[in-house]
Amino acid sequence: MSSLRQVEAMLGRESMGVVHGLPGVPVASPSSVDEAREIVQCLTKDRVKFALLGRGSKLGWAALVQKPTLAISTAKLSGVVEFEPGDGVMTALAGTTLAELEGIVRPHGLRITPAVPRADNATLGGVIAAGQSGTDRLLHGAMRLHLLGTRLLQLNGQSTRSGGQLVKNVSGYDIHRLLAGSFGSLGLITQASLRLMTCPEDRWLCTSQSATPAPLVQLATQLLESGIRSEALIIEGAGDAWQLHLSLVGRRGHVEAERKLVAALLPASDSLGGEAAHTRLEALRESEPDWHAGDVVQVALKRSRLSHGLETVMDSGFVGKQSQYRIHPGLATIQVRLQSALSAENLRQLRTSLQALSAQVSLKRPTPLTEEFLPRVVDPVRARLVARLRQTYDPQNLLCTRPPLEPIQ
Amino acid sequence: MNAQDIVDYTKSLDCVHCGLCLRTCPTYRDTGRESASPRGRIHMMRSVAEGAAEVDQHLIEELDGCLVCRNCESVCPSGVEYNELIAHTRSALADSPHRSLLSRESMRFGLRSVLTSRSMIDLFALMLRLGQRFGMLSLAGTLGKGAENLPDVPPAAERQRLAPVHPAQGKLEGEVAILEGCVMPVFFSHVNRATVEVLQAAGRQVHVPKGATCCGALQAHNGELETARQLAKQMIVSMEGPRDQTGDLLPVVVNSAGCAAQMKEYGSLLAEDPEFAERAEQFAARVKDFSEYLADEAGTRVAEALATDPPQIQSPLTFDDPCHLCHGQGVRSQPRELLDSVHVQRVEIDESESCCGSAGLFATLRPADSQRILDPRLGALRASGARTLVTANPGCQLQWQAGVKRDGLDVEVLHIAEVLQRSLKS
Amino acid sequence: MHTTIPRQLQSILGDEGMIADKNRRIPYECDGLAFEREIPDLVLLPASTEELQACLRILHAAGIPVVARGAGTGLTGGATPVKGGVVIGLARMRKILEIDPTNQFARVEAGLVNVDITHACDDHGLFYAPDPSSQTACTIGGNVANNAGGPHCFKYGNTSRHILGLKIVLSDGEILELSEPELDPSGYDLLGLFIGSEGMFGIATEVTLRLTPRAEVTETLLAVFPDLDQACDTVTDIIAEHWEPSALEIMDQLTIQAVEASVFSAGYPPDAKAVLLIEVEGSRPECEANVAGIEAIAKRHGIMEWRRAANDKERKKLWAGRKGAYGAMGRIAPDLYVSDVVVPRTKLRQLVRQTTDICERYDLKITNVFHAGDGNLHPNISYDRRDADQMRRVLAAADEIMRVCIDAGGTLSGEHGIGLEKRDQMHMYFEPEDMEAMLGVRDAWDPSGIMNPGKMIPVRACNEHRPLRFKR
Repeated sequence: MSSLRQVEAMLGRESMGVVHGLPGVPVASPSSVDEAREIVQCLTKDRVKFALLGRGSKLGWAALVQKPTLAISTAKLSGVVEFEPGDGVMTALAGTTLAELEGIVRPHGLRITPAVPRADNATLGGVIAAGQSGTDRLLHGAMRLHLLGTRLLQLNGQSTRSGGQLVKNVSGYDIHRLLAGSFGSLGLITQASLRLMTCPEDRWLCTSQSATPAPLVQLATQLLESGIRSEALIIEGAGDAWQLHLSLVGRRGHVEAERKLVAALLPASDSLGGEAAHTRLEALRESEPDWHAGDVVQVALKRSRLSHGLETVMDSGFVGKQSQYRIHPGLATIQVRLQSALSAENLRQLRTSLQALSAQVSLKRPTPLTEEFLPRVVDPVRARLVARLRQTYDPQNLLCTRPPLEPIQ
Repeated sequence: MNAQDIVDYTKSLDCVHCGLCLRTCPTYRDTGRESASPRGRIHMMRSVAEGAAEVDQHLIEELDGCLVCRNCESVCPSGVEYNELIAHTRSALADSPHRSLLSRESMRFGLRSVLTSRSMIDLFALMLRLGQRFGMLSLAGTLGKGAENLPDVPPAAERQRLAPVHPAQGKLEGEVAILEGCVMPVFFSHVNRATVEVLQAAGRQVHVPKGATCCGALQAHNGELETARQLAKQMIVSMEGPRDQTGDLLPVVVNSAGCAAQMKEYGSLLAEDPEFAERAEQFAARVKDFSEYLADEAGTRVAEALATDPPQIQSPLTFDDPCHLCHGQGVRSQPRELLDSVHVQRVEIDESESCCGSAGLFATLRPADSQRILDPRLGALRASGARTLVTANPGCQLQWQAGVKRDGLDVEVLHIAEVLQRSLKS
Repeated sequence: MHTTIPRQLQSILGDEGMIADKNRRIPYECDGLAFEREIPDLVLLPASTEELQACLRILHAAGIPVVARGAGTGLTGGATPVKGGVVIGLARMRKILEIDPTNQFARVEAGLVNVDITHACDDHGLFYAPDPSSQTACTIGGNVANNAGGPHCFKYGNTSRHILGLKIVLSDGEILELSEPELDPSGYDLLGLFIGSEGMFGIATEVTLRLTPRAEVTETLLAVFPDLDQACDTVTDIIAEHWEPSALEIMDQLTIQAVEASVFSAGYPPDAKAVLLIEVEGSRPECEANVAGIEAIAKRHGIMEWRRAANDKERKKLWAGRKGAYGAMGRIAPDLYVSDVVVPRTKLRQLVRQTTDICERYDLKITNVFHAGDGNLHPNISYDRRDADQMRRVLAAADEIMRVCIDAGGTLSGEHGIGLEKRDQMHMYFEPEDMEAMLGVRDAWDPSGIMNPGKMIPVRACNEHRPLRFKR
């Protein structure tokens, strides 16, 4: 374990720790890119297996394909590199939390997408690597679409850039797009540039109740087809208590006009405006099914197949009707916080039962997923390409985490 | 022949190779070959001029394949004069040894001898009608094969020539000369009669000068530029005959878009001719398409002459822009204005400015290619729901009539003059 | 090329699908960048993915370079053939395979022309958002290869925001399906990586793309300025104050005069120093709020005139001037060098001035017509390609323009791509190791290196490499 001791000596004991998701694995937190490079070079020289993470809050989303000896965290690589409020863009180090970034941009009438729960523990790099979405996904689309550039510390010690801090840029390949959702399997994202969103002038949120989800799904479909542009459209519930939440944002007159359209479709609902609506939406954001507390299954399908998918999930014995559901009809995703841990066999069965709908089924849990939880359907052409990409970035196969939906060959 | 003589090199330099013409080109759409696109053809021509390419049968084949629909000119941001480029090169290559002798000679015979003479056209029409009636065309070898693709010739009673002068109806508002045309009296004498009647109803005295037969468009497009120039001179002289009461020359109203487009370009065609250059310019300025003249000069009078009851025309109707009307002359709104004064619903047909595949001699010389170009247009016609298709060019009318018949569509194909004629107060 | 190869290819493609004779290959020697040329050894025009696949297998085995081509409207030589190589044109693959208005996507063949997509889904109230100026000719496959933009990409984003799936034939003829119309990619975002790879990773033959609902209201406005700086500052302020137009296009005086003298005349006042064409889309109240907000900013900057199109006809006319601008300038001088750089939107005034100064220094005529909202400048330099000295000055000025933009925090290209034209300038923006990483990724996609070799990334051992931009 000489390389471990070397790392410890390099950083000092106070920069070594542990994270919840990887019990027994020491975590090194370099405070500069140069330090991180030294660690990486030290580990690659000795062929030590390791994992890359932010604060480890989404380790349970990743696939862990081999046991790491050490983890490198970006937690101390924190701070804003460049912020141009007038240009609506910012560049920050990967360990900066989304809460910190939000605090910096908010006074300028700007905000960060995605709006994720527990943002004070979610690092910029972690959110990118996990391809995380928030409650504003319907309005802004995936975060990878607003990721303008990255800096990656590669295992060969080189720090390479892709893209930049411009809203429009086609110079070079979009390697930053490859990094979004790569779960630390290609290198350490040390810095990223984002397009910022504008804070809405006005907001309005309404909630409708039902004893079963089906009528709410139908209402949501009508709302979506009516052309009303919502920031968030969420159905949540369990057993016989279900709610549909709709949040509208935009210019004052616009929200006003859309409210009237919504009222015609959702006659019996509670509504909130302004600050109160904002607070309610924040509460909704925070109440996203918590994978730290237990298994969360996510099903993604085409919009037209949502009802069918929901029935299939609710009918499956090991998911059941009593679990806590969160449905995004506009995105056609279903998240379920399970009451007990899901076995690999059950996950396979769920995937099989949803195969006919070409649904994507993923699992988020407190600790990383092991190989038996990964999808089995391997497209050999894709597998060979992915293997070559991995070989390019990690020729010695030292990195231990993988995107959970990328089948292992 | 000198490479520089084959190509109008200076004009070819206007092309900046942007490619915006590609999608509008029917032969490119059909084949996917850039050598069958305007940009590609210009590129090949320019390469010949620069000595980077030598003429061969592939090049000639691609140049001959052009419909000269001129759709590319309408979308060209650089203003390339494609029509003149291709006419120049086709003419220079008319005698190229890369063509078969038979095709060269039969083409030349047709363009130089038949179409230029009224008596030869009438003789040819008679022979063709006999051949069609008695099924003997297949016995006539290669020439007969080409003739098989020609439309049916109507009986002699239908092939009536026009009288030299037709008086205005009601108050006289002006005088015009019209072009009777070369093949119009053979296949479309009823369109010529409709043209005259509508002009009369609009208060125009109509003159039909008999001194010239053909405008020279087919010759100019098919490598017979010299013949085209001779015909243009005859036309100018002939149309300088009739004058109005004040002694001014008359507007020349043309019901065939292909002819009008050619006649409007006599200025550049004869620019090098010391005797005719100026007369050609003046003549070209007097040429008006039938609908252009009516809508711009006689709109109110036409509206007054129309009946208030719906005419005997299947509804809805649609206007399909002849290439040489919209691309060649930039006339687009006038036929629509006239049709909207008729009491029949009008719908638009998809890609109405795209070629129907008639394209002068193209439909006759290359029937299979022509059919493939018409096919998507027939699809658009079906999708439009129109039951009357209106055009303003005899070639287009024949092509559409053949297509509609083949596909068994319940669509009548009319010249705009016929639509107006049927809509006149009785 | 071994003599049996054309025969093998011909047996796959038939007579319609292959061009072997030299004359008909000549039109393929360049794309929209006409000063880079190479006649391909063969032109292949497959009619299906399977035909293309079979061809690539043969070419891969023989190690013959392959350049994919859509409509050849690219402006950076991305489709310029490679010596000893073949061109694979997608022009015969232009079917619309599926339109799904409920899930708002369409699946089409890669050779389909951009504008045909919108045409086909118009009846459903949907459209395809990216609108490059060449959209009436360019193919969706070419758009994917270059991550194409356009005026409305200010609101809707470049091509990569609108592609949901691809069917790609890799260099060895294997087919990679990335068609997952679900929310996120399963595993690595290979799709996002492929878009903008300029034909070096593989050839996309089928594209699944997102269709966007048409806005309820569209307003087109024109602000007329006595001064170009003020037009730039107006845009800077519109961005900084978070207004949300869907397009912001600036044209300078020379452009206005050229447009007004051409068939595209849009009624822009010829004595104006600049006009800003603004489009606002959305609900009625949104449009009203934006129009009022933007008008206030424009007035603050001393506009001469403020126009609002009253109907579709007027709207089309205002846009016709913008869309015909390149062509109109093409009539001033024989050739036009269209540059494509991006700068921070806070620095528009400064950089537009600097580009003008550079061109003056080189005694060149420059016009500006650009996507101001994205900071995407298009300094256009008029020249005559037959004048070698002028040609040299144009390229030197273009280099300097790139340099000042990059120094100010900008980039090499916003929408046209790198291709051959800007390949040797990549080092201005990227470090050698950045480009090495890109080559690594390229090698993973195409280990054989036959796909569009020599484009985008400078060849290693740069000192031996001939300076391509100064050829001819």
